[in-house]
Amino acid sequence: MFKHWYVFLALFLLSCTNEIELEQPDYVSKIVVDGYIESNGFANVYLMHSSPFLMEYDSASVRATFMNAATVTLTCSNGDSEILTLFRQNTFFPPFVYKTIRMKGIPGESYSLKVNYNGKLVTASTTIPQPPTMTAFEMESRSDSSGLIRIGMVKGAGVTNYAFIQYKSIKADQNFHPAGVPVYKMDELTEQGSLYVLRCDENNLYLVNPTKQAYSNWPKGMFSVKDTVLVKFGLVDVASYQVLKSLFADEAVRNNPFAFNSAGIQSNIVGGIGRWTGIGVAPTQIYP
Amino acid sequence: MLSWGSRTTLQETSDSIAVRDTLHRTLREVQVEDENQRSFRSTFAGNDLLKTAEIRSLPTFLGESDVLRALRLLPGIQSVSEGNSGVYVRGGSAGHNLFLLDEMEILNPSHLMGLFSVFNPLTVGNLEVFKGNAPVQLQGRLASTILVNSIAPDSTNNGLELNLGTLSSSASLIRSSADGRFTMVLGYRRSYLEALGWVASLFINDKKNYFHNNQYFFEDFNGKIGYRLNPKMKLTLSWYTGQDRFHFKDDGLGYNATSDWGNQSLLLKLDRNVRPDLNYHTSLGFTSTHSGLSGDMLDNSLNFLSYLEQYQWKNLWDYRRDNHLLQSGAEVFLQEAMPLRMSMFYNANNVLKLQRYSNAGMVLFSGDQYRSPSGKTLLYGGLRVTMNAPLGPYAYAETQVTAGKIAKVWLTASPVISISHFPRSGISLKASLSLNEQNVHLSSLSSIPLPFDLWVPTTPRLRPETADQLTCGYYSTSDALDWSVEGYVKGMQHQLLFNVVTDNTNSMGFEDQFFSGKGFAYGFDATMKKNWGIYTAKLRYSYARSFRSFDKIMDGDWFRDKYDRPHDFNLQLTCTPNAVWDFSLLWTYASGCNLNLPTGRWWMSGLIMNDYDQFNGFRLPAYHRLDVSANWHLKPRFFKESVLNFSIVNLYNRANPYFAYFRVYMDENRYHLSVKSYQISLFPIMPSVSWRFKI
Repeated sequence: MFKHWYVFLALFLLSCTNEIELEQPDYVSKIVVDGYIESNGFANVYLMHSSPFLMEYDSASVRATFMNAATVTLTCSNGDSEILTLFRQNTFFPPFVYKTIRMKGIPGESYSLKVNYNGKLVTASTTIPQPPTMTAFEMESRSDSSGLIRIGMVKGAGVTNYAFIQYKSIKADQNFHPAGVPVYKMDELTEQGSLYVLRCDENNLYLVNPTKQAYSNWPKGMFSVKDTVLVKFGLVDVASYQVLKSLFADEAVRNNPFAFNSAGIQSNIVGGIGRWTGIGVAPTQIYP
Repeated sequence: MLSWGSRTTLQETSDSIAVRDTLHRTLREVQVEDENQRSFRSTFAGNDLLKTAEIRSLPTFLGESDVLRALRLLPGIQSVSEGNSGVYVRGGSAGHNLFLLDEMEILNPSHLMGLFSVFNPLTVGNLEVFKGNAPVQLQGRLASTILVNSIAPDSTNNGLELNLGTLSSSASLIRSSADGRFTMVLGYRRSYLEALGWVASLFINDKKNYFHNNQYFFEDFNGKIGYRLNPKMKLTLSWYTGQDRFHFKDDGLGYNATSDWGNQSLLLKLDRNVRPDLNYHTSLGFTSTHSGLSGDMLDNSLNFLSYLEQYQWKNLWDYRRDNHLLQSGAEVFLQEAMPLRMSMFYNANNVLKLQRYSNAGMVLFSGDQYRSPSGKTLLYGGLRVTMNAPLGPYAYAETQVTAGKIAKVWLTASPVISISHFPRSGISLKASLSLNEQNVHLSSLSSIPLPFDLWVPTTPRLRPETADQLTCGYYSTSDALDWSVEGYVKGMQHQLLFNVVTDNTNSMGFEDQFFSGKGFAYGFDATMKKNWGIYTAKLRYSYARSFRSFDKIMDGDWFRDKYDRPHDFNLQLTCTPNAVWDFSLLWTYASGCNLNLPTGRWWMSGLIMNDYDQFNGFRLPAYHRLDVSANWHLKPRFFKESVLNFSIVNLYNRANPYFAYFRVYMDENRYHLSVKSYQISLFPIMPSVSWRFKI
């Protein structure tokens, strides 16, 4: 009898996973802008069409999402202006980027973006805050082999800063990308000017085979002390912060089937979706 | 929540009108009511009753009859909540139901993450539900009032009863004195999953043994003791205490934590027959619910506690004269809630959040039931006025409220009118209109209701939720066939949705983390019952729609509620060929519930990002399953009663969806990307055997 109980219990515990067909709700494709301009850096703008979530791409259908024939104009609050040039890039999708070749970001200035595509107009604007003054960059070891990277900055009393952290791990990454918790609101309630660069979690549903990742089964948020990590620490304006916060909060929620995003996502693009971010960045820090 | 469980209704008999008071059987003559006639004599549309025999005749789940599983078969109540503690009544949410066990409020009615209800099936005498329209003393929630009444002890049902199930066993003890002055119902139930873990350890090593690292346990103990002080006065003490505890450990993922949740309730009640036409009832009650989590998760130390406590003093007078039955009462209450106390050591940052809310209030109500001289029409009208005062401290930019001071007074009026008409024998028509209010809110932290969901009372910024509901019904009964149809429309105001993705959590109070909006629901329910000799068939169908709108979600566009499931159907067949065997078959079908998943995608810095242009835009596949059971009534040699139950839940092993998620497969170099949807299913075919016997 006990053995039978165990069989019943095993049945109970063996919840199963099946692939199912869900019907894609009606979805109208939108113009997507993924753009940023860093202090003392060129503007980078990726343009594409969004797609119905359940649409399957192959090399032919994916081309329909590219926007290679747009006119992208950048205008600075100091009166300077430039039409961006299309370049090919192979590091990630989409494979094309519009860039400035003359104008670079200036802290304290506002930058307006205007995209003309097939008669449609999409606009956005952002500002580049003054870059932060860093006071610390160190690895705090948590074990013989792992640790957390801590950064410090000078923070003025009564001032709210919005931090944006990107990093590139030589061990795991080809490109700079946002950190595990990439945006922070640093107000009077936040610990004085001290933040951690948390490593991205590979153990999410959006990776085909997480076990192949360099940091598979590694303590959450931590880096190997033998890794080389490049960190770009910057500040953004409040509008950009809210957009980035909503995007990355949504990314965190989507990896948890029990969670739901009741707030949707935000955008500072008029006529489309995406983000246009001005970043005042401190000089790139390298560990070790 | 602030409701009185006692109920008195006018009864029509062939010769006269008699008064039935379900809680005063020992004090006055009781008219035994024929079940088939009952719905004709109730004044309110949307009122159903389930008796013990019906609950026990259903297929058991892991050897346990369950009150909520039986409740979910009633029309207007969603039949499917697998692994989900929520009860969804006519477009309402999980927190819109008032559960009263012997008049004690139970805030968290589930064990084992929603698989079982907290009500011990061996002590339950009957279950009654009012679906949105109820007498004023039973109001307090938007969607339903669910009365779970213990067995009334008498000389015929005394004894010790046990049920041995697969995961848990339960016991009850029922006693009454020879003169009926003393009555007692005791119930105890306990799971023994840890014993199964020990059995598992005989076959597999500790590392693979799920129960070596994860221990689950639940128990409950409830009772009701009555003592008649004199022929006109009776004292009753009722209580419930129940607890779930789950310890889970996974070194690889960095989990080592214990979660526990439960309810405690206590009620002392005095019933007094002041005059032949006047009764007085007074009670002092306490109820609480709590949930907590402590330990290490993902290498972060976490301690979390949430609770709601409530003290109540209730008074009810019922007075009858001629064709009137007048019920009036007053209640006072005190609530204290801490929806969120959390301390966390998160990667070297200490986070501590502490929110505590106190409320005091008073309820006044009065309702009159009138029977026309012809006896063919019953009218009911009532008004319930609730004053709820959140007490300080509150710290707002514009004002500061010190501890114990009244920060705000919410005054709500809940009128109800109802009419039922009996044009001829076997036919009745009913219509009820209510404005309901609710002063506590359930904040769901997840996409499904879980025991960790948080109760928060009304605050200066969280106003009472309200709903108005109109229900109309037509009912027909005869020896050959019973059938009925009910339709309803419901509007809901000040609905709350917890914003789990919020900003400024350090500077915001808990009360600021809600969206406020409105809701709308409509539908109809049809039921049919027919007997063919040893066979009985019950068929229930509900068409129900439910929508919500929140200003800050999709710019206020109306969207389908998560539990908007248009079609809900169940068919129950029972066969009683002889006194030894009875058989039952239950087939359930329900439209899939809705999911809020992204509808579009785009890229940012090489990452796939989501786009939402609809809320709850996806619908899961339909749910259906077939359950069968057989009861073998053994010839009692040592016992008063001995029954072996054989049940199979989900006979054809349907993989029903519990939740769904997307997985994206991509190969950037070849520009290939596909998205596949997956569902998690909880229960495959589930056979069970249980033995119930009475000494």
